[in-house]
Amino acid sequence: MNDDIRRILDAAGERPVASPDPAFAEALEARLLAVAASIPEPTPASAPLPVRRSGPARLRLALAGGLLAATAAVGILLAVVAGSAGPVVPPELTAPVNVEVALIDGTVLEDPDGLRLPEGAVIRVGEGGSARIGDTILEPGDVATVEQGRLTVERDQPVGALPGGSAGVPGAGATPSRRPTTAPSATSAGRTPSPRPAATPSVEPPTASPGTLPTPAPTSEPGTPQPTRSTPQPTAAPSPVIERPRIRARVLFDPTRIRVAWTATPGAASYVLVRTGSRDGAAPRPQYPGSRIVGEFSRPPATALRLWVPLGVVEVKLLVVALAPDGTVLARSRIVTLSTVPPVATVPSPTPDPSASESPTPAIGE
Amino acid sequence: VDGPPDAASDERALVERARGDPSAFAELYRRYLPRVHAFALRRTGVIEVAEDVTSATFERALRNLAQFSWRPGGFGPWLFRIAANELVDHHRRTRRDGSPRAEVAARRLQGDAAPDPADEVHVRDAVAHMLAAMDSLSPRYQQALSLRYLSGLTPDEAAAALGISRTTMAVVVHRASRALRRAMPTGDDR
Repeated sequence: MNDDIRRILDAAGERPVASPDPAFAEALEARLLAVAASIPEPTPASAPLPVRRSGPARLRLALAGGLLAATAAVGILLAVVAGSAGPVVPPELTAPVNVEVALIDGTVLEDPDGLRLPEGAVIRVGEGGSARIGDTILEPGDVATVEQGRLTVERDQPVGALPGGSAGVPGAGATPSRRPTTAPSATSAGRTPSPRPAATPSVEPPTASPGTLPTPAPTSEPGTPQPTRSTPQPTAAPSPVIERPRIRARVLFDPTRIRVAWTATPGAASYVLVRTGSRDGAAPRPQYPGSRIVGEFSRPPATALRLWVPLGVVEVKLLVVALAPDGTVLARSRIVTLSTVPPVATVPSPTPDPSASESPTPAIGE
Repeated sequence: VDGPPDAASDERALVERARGDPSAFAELYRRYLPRVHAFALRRTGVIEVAEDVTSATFERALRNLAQFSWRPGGFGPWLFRIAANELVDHHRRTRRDGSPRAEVAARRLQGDAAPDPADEVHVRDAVAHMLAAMDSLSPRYQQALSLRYLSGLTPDEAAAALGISRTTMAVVVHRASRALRRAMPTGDDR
């Protein structure tokens, strides 16, 4: 073996590296617990491990694999021919109330209405909460996971309890069921029949119907100058001006979270919420693509979502990017800068105006 | 991973417990998090990517714990093998996307470190280019080199992680090193 290469490899292996961020470690542990709660029971399924197998076992596996592949190919062909291929768009969370979504990177969101649930997302419905994912209604105590594009729902499990052991309702926790639920009629899209908690009584922005493109809130956005305030409808101009999403955010303390909402951009097929954070000094400028994506949403959240702030982060910058149906960038919001150090509540960028940051639109105010 | 027999039996008991009660997995998680994270960070050079790989590793381990059968190497090599797979997948994805992630990672690796004496700059530069070149190797070679040199596993544990004997591991590492040397840019290329 070449000594030079070995020396370089040794040097690479001996390099001191940073310890895992405590906030990351904490968030990941919480996520693993959520995942553990969603695991039905240990079943001998597909193992990713490099276990050496005997010849006949390999043959059986190869045959089974071949059969599976052939079946899958035929299935896909039939689906394509029938024009009923599975949806490519990931499942979407609708009308969440007291719902916590843990993403695979440790990000935790509360009530992220319109979030396109990525692979590995764990959705937990808290007490008195509800949500809808496609035709599935989630109820209090439900834990849903997205695996290989499919939604699996565990029912009737007390939030915080883990499967196995003595926790949970006898029988119910051990036999997870994918309960076919009845969705409300199309006319009530975006709503569930379950009651909303009193904590968020009137937080619906003017864009309550997800099917309609809302007009921007007539109130001033923090940090966004409104030079044409006297003209009621400036978008009536003949030229097709692309309206950028208007983001609003504020910090909630104890625990530290950020409430975020934004307005719609006509013609946008989806929205991407991007964030950066810093533990010392200014957070870097968020970029898309490039910065960490909190999530992709099919529409602006009907109610402000809440994003957990990792411990130790002193500043967060947020950006919303409106995407066209082909995935290209349609418009970008202004970048909002938030100081997450108490007692400073909100420092919207670029013009910090504390008085303007509160309450003109009920989407953010508490 | 290293440790006296007591530690090994303790870990085995812990794994058995975690198999029936997934919440016990948290103990294994805390035990291995720093090393898995360090492994991923050494290989990628980017904290965000290392965190993603670490997350995916532990989640995959948790989901597949029922299939883990105890072997002399114990739990660690099994976990590191998953991490190595995740790293290969990550580099495969970034390569497919046409992203110069490896070069970025190499630069980040250089940029994150404290200033070096002049005679160490050369080594650091070489490490950065070596990591970038490693992306072009076959998955098996990537796994062998990263497990052997970047994971902190002993040679026996690295071999156990790959499910091969130590002798075979030595051969694979030798071939992988030769391939790595061919993949590394010469001084003129840099």
